[in-house]
Amino acid sequence: MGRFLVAWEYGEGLGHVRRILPIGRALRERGHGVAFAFRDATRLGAASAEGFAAWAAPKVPRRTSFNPTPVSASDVLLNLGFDDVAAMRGALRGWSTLLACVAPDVVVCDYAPGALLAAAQRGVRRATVGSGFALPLATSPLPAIRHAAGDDEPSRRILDARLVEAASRACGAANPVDVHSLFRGEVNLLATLPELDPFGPRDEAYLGPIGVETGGLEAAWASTARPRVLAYLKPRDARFAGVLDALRGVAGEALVAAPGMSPDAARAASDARVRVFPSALALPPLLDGVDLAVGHGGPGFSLAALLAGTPLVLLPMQLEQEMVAVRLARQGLAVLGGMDGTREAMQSALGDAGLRERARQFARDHAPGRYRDAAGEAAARLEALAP
Amino acid sequence: MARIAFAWELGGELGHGMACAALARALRARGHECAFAFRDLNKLDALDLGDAPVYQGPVSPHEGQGVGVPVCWADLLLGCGYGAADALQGLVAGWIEVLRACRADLLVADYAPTALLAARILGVMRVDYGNGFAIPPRLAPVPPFRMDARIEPAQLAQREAHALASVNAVLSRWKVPALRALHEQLEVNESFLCTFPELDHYGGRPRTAYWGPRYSIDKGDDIAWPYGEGPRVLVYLRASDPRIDTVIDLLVQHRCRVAAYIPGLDAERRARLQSAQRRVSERPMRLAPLLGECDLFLDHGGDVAGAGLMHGVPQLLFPAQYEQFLTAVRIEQLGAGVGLARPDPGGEVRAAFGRMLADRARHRAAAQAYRQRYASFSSAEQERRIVARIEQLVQEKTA
Repeated sequence: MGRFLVAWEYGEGLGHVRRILPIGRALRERGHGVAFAFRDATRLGAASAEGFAAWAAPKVPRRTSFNPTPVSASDVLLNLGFDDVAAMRGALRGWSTLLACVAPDVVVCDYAPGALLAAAQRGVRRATVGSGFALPLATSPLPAIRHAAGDDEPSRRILDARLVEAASRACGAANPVDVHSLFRGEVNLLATLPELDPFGPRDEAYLGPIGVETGGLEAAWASTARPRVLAYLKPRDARFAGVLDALRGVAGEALVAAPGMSPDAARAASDARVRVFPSALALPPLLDGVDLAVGHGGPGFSLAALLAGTPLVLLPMQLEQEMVAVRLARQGLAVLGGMDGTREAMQSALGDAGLRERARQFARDHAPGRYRDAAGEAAARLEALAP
Repeated sequence: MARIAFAWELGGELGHGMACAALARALRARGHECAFAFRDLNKLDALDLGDAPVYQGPVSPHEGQGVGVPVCWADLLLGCGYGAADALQGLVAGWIEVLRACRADLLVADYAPTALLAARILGVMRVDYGNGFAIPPRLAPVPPFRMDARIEPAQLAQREAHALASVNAVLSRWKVPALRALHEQLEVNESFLCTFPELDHYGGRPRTAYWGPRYSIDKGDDIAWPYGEGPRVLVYLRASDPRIDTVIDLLVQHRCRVAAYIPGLDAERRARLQSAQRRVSERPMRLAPLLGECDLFLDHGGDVAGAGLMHGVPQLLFPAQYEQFLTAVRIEQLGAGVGLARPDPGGEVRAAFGRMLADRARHRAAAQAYRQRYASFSSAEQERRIVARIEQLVQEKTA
């Protein structure tokens, strides 16, 4: 039986843990040993409570000054601190210690470029899993991630070369690094659907979402008032208060999941029609019969809404969300909200029969239950790498 | 031979890593095995850890978010994952993994309260090792450290109760008896409180053994004082300090002889400062010989400030955070230097610098008096005693 280390190194929020925990469980059910390394050590309890070894992932400190509009995946990693050779060397030493302790046959990386690099150095087999954002197309140079100034091919080639140089120096000159090895393994699992893949659609297998419908507080609609709007928002977003106002103006009833908010603030922001919860909400019962979903464009919530046939208004806060939101808007499955004008975006989405129909068609195309065992399928694909 | 794990969990200064590395070298020389779990791995190159295992210390990526300016020990913990039992449970789980992997006989905790909790849960022997700020007094409540912000007793009690509730929730999951007060988390088999009462950040505490300041000044490049006439000024500041340009101007204007190490200094500023009279080192300098013949020491108020005092050198201090600010206050109270309020890039620095140079005989006398009081202190002896005590603890356990 094999030993697996499942590592999450970059990206925020609950999505990564919700994706990799079911994969770990499925691997364990198949008789394999599994350990986890999380970027956010405050979430390690979720793994340790199930008896998994749970480690803090070695980190490279974020650059204090960074480019707010990176143009390629290499640029993103340089932004995250991968141009600091000493810091990277330190993180690689941390990964090396961890790999020596866990002695995995396979490292499974959910946006974990440091783990990919360290595993390559030690000759450990490597796989990736994710929503597609961390797995850019294997082109040379790596593809542009948004169409903006400075994303021409020569510029991106220079960024790839800078990343390769820094990574090679951190590894020692004897180990030249290939830029794709920072993003790809031998097996690369896309736990999403082509419509939401930031680099999609592409000619690779899509497993479908893993873990997007798990967990959260159980809530229920309190009235029959329409339209019903379900929102999943970060309270630290500058638009948060404005979105609540817009919901009061537009929704018959609205439920807002705002993880990270204090219970007192959530109570204060709630009224009879718009109820704010300071935690994640269990989505499946609420999505049944909802008219509109409002989120930032995180792939988890967006997928859950669309699989229930619900169109979206999206207010991206970071790059991955922006890429998902732009793709969904182009396919007529979502409306983009700007800095202001959330209310107009919601009204336009609610009044758009075509939008609603396309969301329903999405749900029919990806029939319910079809991806129920995506985690099991992932485990089966990963298992092939173990001895 | 014992297995010793070092944990550095909180505090951003490399001084923690350097102090752990130095103590570990002494332990390794005695045949013990050492492993490290550090919050920051980005400057390991500077630490000479040999080929020991180095783990990422589990810390919250949300440190300081959603909490106000910390006023007391409980505030620091609440800002570092202790606000919710689930988050603390995650951190503790991570530390337990590290301690198990090290198969540690003893944990040396350098500002590492959660590592101490993990060691308590596993029944691993533990010591703490740090200055007065990192090792608060064992009092209920732990007294607030902030001088410029009041906190009502009821508020203090409420914040301690909040952090304690998280701690006890975690302990109960591991079936470990609850603590009655937050400071009990800091119970250790020995406390290497590395400061003297005059420098204690908390200003005073119940009867305690003080092990003397810890600093490492015998490593680095050998730089000699330039020949000439001007006052010898040792500069040990970071380039990111907003007052660095004023400092450079003052050193030039007062015709000082300078030995400087300023990490992060750009080429333009380096060119402005460097001359035959003013040496600017590219790498850390060996401070011991320089401090022996120094008229004025410019530093931030980290561990190295203790070294300045032990050499009887007056200091002008540029605190970059509150712990350093408290050190600066203590040195000012001794009359051995002046601490600058932060962060004023302008006139205050000029005035203080001029005053320090003009009045350095008085400051030197105060610093020398402190030095005389602890004339028998020696860093080497401090290290020897700490190593001996650690060995004694491990032997007692195995006996």
